[in-house]
Amino acid sequence: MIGKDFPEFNAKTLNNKNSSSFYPKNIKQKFIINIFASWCAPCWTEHEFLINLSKKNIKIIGINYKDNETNVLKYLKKLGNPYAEIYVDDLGQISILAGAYGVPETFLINEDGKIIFKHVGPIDDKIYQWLLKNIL
Amino acid sequence: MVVKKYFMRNIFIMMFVIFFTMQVFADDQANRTQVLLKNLRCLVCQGQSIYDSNSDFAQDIKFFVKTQIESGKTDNEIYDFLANKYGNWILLNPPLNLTNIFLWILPIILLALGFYFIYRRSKFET
Amino acid sequence: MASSFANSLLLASFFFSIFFNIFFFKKKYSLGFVSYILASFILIVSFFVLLFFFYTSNFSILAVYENSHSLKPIFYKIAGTWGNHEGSMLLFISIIAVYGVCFIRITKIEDVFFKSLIIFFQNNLQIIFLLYLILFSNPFDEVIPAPKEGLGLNPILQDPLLLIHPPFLYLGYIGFSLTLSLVLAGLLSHNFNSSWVMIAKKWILIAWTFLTIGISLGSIWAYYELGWGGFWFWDPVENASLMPWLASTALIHCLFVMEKKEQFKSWTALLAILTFSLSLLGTFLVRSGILNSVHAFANDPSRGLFILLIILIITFISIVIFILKTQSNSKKQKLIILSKEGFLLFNNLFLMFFLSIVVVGTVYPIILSALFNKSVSVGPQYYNALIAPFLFIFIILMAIGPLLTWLENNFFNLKKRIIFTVLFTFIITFFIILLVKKTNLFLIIGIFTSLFLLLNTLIDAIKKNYFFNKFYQPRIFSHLGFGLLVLSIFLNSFLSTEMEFEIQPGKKIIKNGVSFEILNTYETKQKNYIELISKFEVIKNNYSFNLTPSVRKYLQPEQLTSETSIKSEFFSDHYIVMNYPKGNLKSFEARYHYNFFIHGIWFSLFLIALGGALSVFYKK
Repeated sequence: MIGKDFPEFNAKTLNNKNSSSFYPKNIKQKFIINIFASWCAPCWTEHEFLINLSKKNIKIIGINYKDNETNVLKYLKKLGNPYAEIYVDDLGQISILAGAYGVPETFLINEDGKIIFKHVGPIDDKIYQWLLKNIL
Repeated sequence: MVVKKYFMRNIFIMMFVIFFTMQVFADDQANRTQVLLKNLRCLVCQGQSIYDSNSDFAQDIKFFVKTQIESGKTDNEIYDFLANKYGNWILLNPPLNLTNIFLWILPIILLALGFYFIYRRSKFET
Repeated sequence: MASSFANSLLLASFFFSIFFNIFFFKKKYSLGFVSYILASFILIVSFFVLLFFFYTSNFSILAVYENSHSLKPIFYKIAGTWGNHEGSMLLFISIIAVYGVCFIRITKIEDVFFKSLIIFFQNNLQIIFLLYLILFSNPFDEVIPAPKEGLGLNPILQDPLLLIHPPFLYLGYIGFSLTLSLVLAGLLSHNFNSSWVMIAKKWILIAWTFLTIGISLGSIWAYYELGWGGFWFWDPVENASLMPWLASTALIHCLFVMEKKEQFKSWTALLAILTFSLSLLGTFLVRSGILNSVHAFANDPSRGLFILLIILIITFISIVIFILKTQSNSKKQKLIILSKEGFLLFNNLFLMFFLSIVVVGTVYPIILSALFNKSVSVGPQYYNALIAPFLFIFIILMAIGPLLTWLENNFFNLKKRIIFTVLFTFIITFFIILLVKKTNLFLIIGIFTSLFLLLNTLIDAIKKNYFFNKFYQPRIFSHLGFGLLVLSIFLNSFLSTEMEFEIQPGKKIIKNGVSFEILNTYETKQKNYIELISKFEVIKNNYSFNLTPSVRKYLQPEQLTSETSIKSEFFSDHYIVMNYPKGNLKSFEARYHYNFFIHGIWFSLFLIALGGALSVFYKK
């Protein structure tokens, strides 16, 4: 998937429940897409890194994978919300469009909407430093 | 003796005809979804097909394949789409292309060589 | 303490093996035999010492610590001995030793040098692997301080069949070590002729029979333990056991030609070398961890490299001896294609073709990813597509071959008989197709060809009274078994059905005319797992029965496994597997398989192995 366009998709967002389209090309800046779920333990461990990235004004789009609404809201309330927008993927179908294996999974998208980096599994310190260096 | 011979021959021809008509009218469409799912590898499992696995990943792919079939996609379109997203590794059946051409022709070459060897041996003069 | 005692056994065995070599070169053959027997005996004892450590959960031993747990039932503690890399390697070497000792005790050979030479090769194979064991994969490595508890064994491997499946498999493919020793010694001492066959045949057949049983047990294990409803998955490790089986089957058929007509000698020697090399390759594939397979339970890449090196050395030396010592001027004769030996050559050709498919299908993806970093996966369809069409021809040749005579063409005398059998087969095929109400060209050809083999073999056997002839019994049983196997596989794969469904307790669902209902569910606690059992009532064609599939949650290490529940009828199995319910036991995902003619497969495997066993006990 590296070097390819991140796919456009249509999904409900966590905030307003309405279906809306996501066009990666319209963002026109480097940003991160993170697939997560409140039931996934490794997601908890990487959350701190996502919060730190968002504090540095890096845009993070969340894809909430097969989750329960109350649980996600609780999760975000407890750990903080680093996501600029969260799309709900209750059937795991956005994941397939993205060529993802499961949760957590993180993509770095460039200004043209192309995937330039992909990481399967939780973000650790090494990945975090790499992301910082390559976005800022 | 002669009568019997013709009798057997007729039975033979009749059966042949019946077989092939049955063949033509046979409704032998196996469950397409099942076949498709069996031909896809569960990438997060060890040595299982999507069909045999119940991991989240496999369930997503199962749902995806079902919706794609309902929306009228052909098998090849579905395979191509998934191979494009996940690489050829997801296909349990190797497509015929330059990388794996040897996979198919090596055994055939060996068979041909064997036949040639036996042929030569049968022409051997002492 | 325990560790150093066991290690000293390994060393003692090693030194006695070295003594054999010294005695051999000093031509003190009987002393040599004594030290070889001692070396082997000590080695076998050391295997039982390891077994004892597993039995008593002695966690100061690394292999026990890593692969066992005190809460495990005794049965699986013992199976743990060979459920890991180190233990299975020790079993591997012990079996080389068992074959060596049995050969010395059982087979009488006048020429003591020749007998010593055979044991010389057997002994050195033992030395190579023992050295590898002691240096790189010692089962008796010590953990200091001794842990209080072990790490456990993969739950999927905790199964009674698994207690016996690997030892049988090993008795099979390590049995071919003796085949290799016999061939190399035979070539070197110019004893490679029809009297060599008289000595070697029995040992090759013993290994072949064990291998057949081992593969069959593995297949039965996969059928009910893995819960996928099938019996063969073209999994790389299954393939690894099939490779030496195909090569040795070809070898056995060649032995007959060599015994009767002194022909195809160099080909026979090459097949023997190939058989053992493929056995080693199998070990390498399983143990190296380069396979993506259900069996990759014990792996370590660096060890794999050493095994690969050993295989290359053994094969290289064997090939060198082969090239130097085969007489190229052996009396070659013009081959008559429509004779018994002509058909046996075709048998070999097709077996080699099937073998090459299995080898290429298994090894190609590994090489591609290692050298070019590209991935390709090879699934069942590759094997089916390449094998099936040629299998049909193979079976037809197999039906006709035994009717032919040596060194002359009598095919045209058989014409009438073959036409009769073809017609007879046609009629039976026709009725089977009417009965099962399914028409598919492949199914029809499959039934037709396998019946043709079955009928030809049966008619031949009845006509010549072979069923009571000890010389012909092995062939008759094995060939009938093979015909039945192919017939069963075709019936099974075309007439079985399966369906997936989701079900709530108390609610009845009907799918494709079969009704399912969960009567009740309950949990039981066992020593090493918690089991959730569901009682299903299934009604199919007004026939009602209960099935109780379950899900086990193992505790050390924590893992879920599904246990199948099978209801057997004469012709078929009904089979249910279920998954661990998500949420509060409200909804179960389950899968139902109707497996047609599966017992035919088990029975035919038994017949094939029986043929092998009978030939072992055959005495002139």
